[in-house]
Amino acid sequence: MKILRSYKLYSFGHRRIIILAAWFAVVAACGFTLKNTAAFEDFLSGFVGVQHMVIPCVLSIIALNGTLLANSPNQSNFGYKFFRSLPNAEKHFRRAVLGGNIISLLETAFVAVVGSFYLESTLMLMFSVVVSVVFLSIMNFVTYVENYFVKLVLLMVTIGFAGGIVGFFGEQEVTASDDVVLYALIACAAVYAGSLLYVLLNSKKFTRKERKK
Amino acid sequence: MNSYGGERLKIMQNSDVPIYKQIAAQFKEQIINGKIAEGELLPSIRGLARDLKISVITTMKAYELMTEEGLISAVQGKGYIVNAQDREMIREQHLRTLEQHLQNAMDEARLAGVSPDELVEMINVLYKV
Amino acid sequence: MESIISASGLVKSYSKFTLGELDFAVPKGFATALIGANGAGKTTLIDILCGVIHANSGEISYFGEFTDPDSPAVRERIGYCAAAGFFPTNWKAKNIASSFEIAYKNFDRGNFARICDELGVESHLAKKQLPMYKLSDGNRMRTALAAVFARETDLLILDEPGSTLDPLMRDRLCDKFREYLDRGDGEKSIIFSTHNIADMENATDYAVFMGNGKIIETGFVDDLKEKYIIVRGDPENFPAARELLLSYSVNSTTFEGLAYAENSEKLRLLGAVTERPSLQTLSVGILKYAEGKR
Repeated sequence: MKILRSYKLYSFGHRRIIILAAWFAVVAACGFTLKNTAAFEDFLSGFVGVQHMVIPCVLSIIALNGTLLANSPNQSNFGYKFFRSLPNAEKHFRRAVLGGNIISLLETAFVAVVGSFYLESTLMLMFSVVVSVVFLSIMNFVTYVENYFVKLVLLMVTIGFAGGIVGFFGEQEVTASDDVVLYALIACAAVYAGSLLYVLLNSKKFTRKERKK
Repeated sequence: MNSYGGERLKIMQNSDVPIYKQIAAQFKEQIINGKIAEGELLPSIRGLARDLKISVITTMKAYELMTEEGLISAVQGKGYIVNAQDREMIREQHLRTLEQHLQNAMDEARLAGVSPDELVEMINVLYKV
Repeated sequence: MESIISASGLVKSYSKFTLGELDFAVPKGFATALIGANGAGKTTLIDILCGVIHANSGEISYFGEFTDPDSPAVRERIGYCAAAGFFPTNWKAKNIASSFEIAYKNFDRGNFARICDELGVESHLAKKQLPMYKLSDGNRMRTALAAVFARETDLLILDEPGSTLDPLMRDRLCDKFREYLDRGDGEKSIIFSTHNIADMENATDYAVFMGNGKIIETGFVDDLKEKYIIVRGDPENFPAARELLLSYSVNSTTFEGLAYAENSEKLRLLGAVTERPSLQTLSVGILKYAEGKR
């Protein structure tokens, strides 16, 4: 509850999330209608793209970048003086970042559930989840990078990699054993945990950071 | 709480007389001629500042001045109340000051060659203004 | 006199500017103005007091009992508003209301709507609300002030609240100040900064003059008006008067300056006329004096 409140404190527009969810619902509905038709193959490849990029990308950017901007002394349009002067300012910041992560994870889970209706290969499904979570981890790691160019490059490289790997596995007949999936999941969870820890441990330092002069 | 029943004060913002002195003088006048009775509570410092649109320190200073003159005294937790006034004595003081001023006026009149009659006439004119 | 905030040995250094070392006390129950030129350090000081930035060294005491600027107990009791862009620019009144409600225990939505009305800006109840970036600077400040006044606080710390307001609204602000102080009956205090004191003179009790990161002079306004005098005279007499003047300006027809009131007799003997300063003329004189000393 506290996490939700802190997240709401930042008052990010919910419109984007709603539009995104609605759009995703339409895509999912299309999938149902197209199933067992010739166009389904094309739909699937498109769907995977949506799943990997748009959802985690947009949601984590709203949540994580938003909290960062709101507390950054180098951004005068996002109200850092307001957020920093609040009672428990740092706790709110930390909780809001956590809130952003939870929402992104929920969204990933939701997409995975929807995806399980279409993607017959469990491996494929697992893989897409892994890519989402890795993306989210990268978002966490670049949370405190304030240079937009650097941030953008880091994100683009990740998205490119994800797209490439997914494409590669999409074309191959994937025959990896269960162990590989398991290892991948563990590794991804570890990376993610590390990223979250990194964000939370550095929050105090960040909320005390000063404007570049 | 505010049992103040005196007249409204009129403050001149751009007068040479400091505002706190204007306030003190107007209260004093009302106290001496009995418009504000003994034991009556004056408006609170911050309430008066709010009503007169002036700073708190100014009303505070006015009240300090009146306290020094023995017109009012501070009562812990209540505010300022009007002291019992020895009106005869205050009047006596004023007469003495008046005499002093008249003496000065006469000295100036002599220097300027104004006759006593002319001086009286001047006073009469000024009174009517 | 009891103080609401006092600081000792406060220092904040940047590469090009150093604030301090500052030692001062702000009296409880009054409106205190931080007066200084641009870049004097007013905003830096306010940001430190409100926990936006942290001092390198020194100690601040709040309400006579707290020393940690980050303590929630302190922040709950302070109503703070920054000079410009206090809120995210895409926020509307409703975002402000909901965030204040989450962040503070003492925020009242009803009060917020009422004060927005009073100050002539849209509240969270308005049907169509404009985001902050579409409002004028003045209306943005009004909305922010309404939010701050809608809380139950013991101390307001406002950075340049009057600068963006029109004269009528600045007068309204002075009224709000006096109402606030009256409501507290000696328990509530205000600190605000300004570089244009003229319109706020009648809502200023105590003045803290700042120049180049230091505090130059402090005192109750009425005491300062008795400590200093404004001097005017003929330019012929200026050389003789000069050493008695703290700061001055001189041209071919007249000189004008600031001096200690104790020297008024000497100055009058030099043929100068003296007068009681207004807070505005006093500020100009004192700030000029500080600049000259640098």
